[in-house]
Amino acid sequence: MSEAVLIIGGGPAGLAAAASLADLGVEAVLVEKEPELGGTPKKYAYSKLVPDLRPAQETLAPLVQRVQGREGLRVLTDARPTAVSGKAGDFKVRLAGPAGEEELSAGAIIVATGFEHFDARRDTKYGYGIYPDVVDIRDMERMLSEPQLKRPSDGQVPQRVGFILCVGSRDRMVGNTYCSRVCCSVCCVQAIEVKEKNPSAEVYIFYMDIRTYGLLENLYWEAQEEHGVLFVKGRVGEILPRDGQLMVKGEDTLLRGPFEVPFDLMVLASGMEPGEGTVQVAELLNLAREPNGFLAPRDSHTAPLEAAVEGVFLAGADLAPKFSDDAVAEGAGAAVRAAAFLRSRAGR
Amino acid sequence: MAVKGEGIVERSLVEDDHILEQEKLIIEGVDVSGRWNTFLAPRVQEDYTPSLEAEVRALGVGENIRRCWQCGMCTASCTANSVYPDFNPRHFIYLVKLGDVQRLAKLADVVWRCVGCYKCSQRCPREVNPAEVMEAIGVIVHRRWGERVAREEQVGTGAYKKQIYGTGRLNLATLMAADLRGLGRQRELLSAEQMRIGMKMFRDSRLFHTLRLGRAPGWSRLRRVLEEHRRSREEVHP
Ligand SMILES: Cc1cc2nc3c(=O)[nH]c(=O)nc-3n(C[C@H](O)[C@H](O)[C@H](O)COP(=O)(O)OP(=O)(O)OC[C@H]3O[C@@H](n4cnc5c(N)ncnc54)[C@H](O)[C@@H]3O)c2cc1C
Ligand code: SF4
Repeated sequence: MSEAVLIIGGGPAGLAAAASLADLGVEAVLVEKEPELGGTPKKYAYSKLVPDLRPAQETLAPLVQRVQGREGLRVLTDARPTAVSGKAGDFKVRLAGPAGEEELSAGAIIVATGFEHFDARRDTKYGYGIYPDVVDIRDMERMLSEPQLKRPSDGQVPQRVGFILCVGSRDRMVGNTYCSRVCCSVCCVQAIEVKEKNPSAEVYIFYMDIRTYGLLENLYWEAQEEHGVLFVKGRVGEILPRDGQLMVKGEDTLLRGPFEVPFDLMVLASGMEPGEGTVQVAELLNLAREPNGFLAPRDSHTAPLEAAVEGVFLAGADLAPKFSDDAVAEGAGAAVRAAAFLRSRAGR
Repeated sequence: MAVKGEGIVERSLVEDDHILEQEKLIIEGVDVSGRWNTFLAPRVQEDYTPSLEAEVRALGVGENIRRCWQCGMCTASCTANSVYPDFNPRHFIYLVKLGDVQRLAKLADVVWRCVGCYKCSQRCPREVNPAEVMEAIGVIVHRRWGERVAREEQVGTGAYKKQIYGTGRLNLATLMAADLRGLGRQRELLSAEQMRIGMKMFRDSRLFHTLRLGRAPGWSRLRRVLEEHRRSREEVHP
């Protein structure tokens, strides 16, 4: 019988879970496979964040601070679980880290292994990975973290910038039929950032639907009203290089007819997928996954943060695409569920 | 009246059959002939045929038309569109789903112009298979408005029919030759490239087999089926 909770994944969800357990006085171990905490936003150097356009550095720092030097909380980076045995109340977990292998006991496990970006090379029609000026929103986050936006091929400031929504999402041909949920809002923010850095840039967003759901709608309005970002309803079918620019071929479905126009930089809104780390942990713990590969809760109405496997709790973007505010809320929620679970067992 | 609707300022925006004009028009005893007798038919659509989608789906290859969400990937990828600007698979699918027979009838002679490159079907995010849905829509258009389809489409059908009804198979080599002859381009058959390929195929004896495919297997039964089909089609298109 162990009183400790193991948290797998040090992104927004895992960090919130770890800090909450420390606040509750529950012993915990946080393992993160990358050298640094902060999850995907940290790993790929996100720029300004939805919903309030604050720099990612600024919002991640307090999340990381809250897990540092806390009593009863061990933080291991560069480490990941390699084997799990036992059951709820007494899991035996083998960890591989920089200091070699170790085994620890845990009464409960929180899985917060997050997501990976869709690899846009899988959608061959856009030439990602072939034409340097075709980038995706992950590359764009890094590019926008620099003082000036430059296009990769020649370091020039791009004058005509286009975004293509739903790349790797809502598409049977690439095998992902779900909506990645964040990309519409993220592209609105990135378009605003392009305009802020270079007000004379012409920025277009090619869309099928705009899903800036709930309160995020204001980003869509702001991009349009205050920054003059143009929204074109339709789809881009192919991108080809021509005379040092990108020739973008698509259909404007409102005008009913195809277009062929040059751009300096094209940004693909590649979506979110369950990452390799999530798949690995799902196999280790025998966790159910829904048809798209995300982790499936025991009951999405009454137990949205619990796995069907007793003693295992779930939080963050490994459950479904979502923003980090939801991931943080779920991390805290999973921590409470795990603490309550351990307490109920101890009382028995 | 010289030109129909010549008094209309934005004439290009108005379709011919919406313009109503008379040589002489007298309303309540006042002669309003001339500029004042131009009227426009209302543009409000009232007539839809919702069964059109079911007709397309019933053709098998049109089965997945329901999936379409009008994104435009097919038209964005289309080869035929650059030659025939009105050829827009997404738009045709929309008209069929709405049952807008009026607009579809006007485009009857454009619908069949797909060149079969299949780029749309390769890229359609919903796996509608637009290339084959267009084939199904083409069949429906032929059934309903066959008389509106241009005669060019008939180029080569003579040779097609002769081969299918005569042997039960298509011989692409002789078909191409027949088409080029029909278009008065037979010289292209004697180009250096064709001659080079021809010599090579002659040497390894492929030429002989290619030109004489012979009849399809099970010809006696197949022939009866084809005859029956021909009769049923002649009832539709005498
Ligand atoms: C382009 C883009 C822009 C975005 N912009 C915003 C934004 O502006 N605002 C916002 O709120 N959200 C944004 N998001 C969403 C945000 O990134 C996610 O909501 C958030 O990262 C989810 O947090 P998480 O902790 O669940 O997952 P992650 O951030 O993915 O963290 C998971 C962590 O688990 C680790 N891990 C995985 N497997 C293992 C394993 N087996 N062992 C050990 N460790 C493991 C990973 O290395 C990672 O550090 C954006 C997303 C995208 C795609
Ligand atoms: S690509 Fe597919 S889903 Fe998109 S408009 Fe064409 S047929 Fe419809």
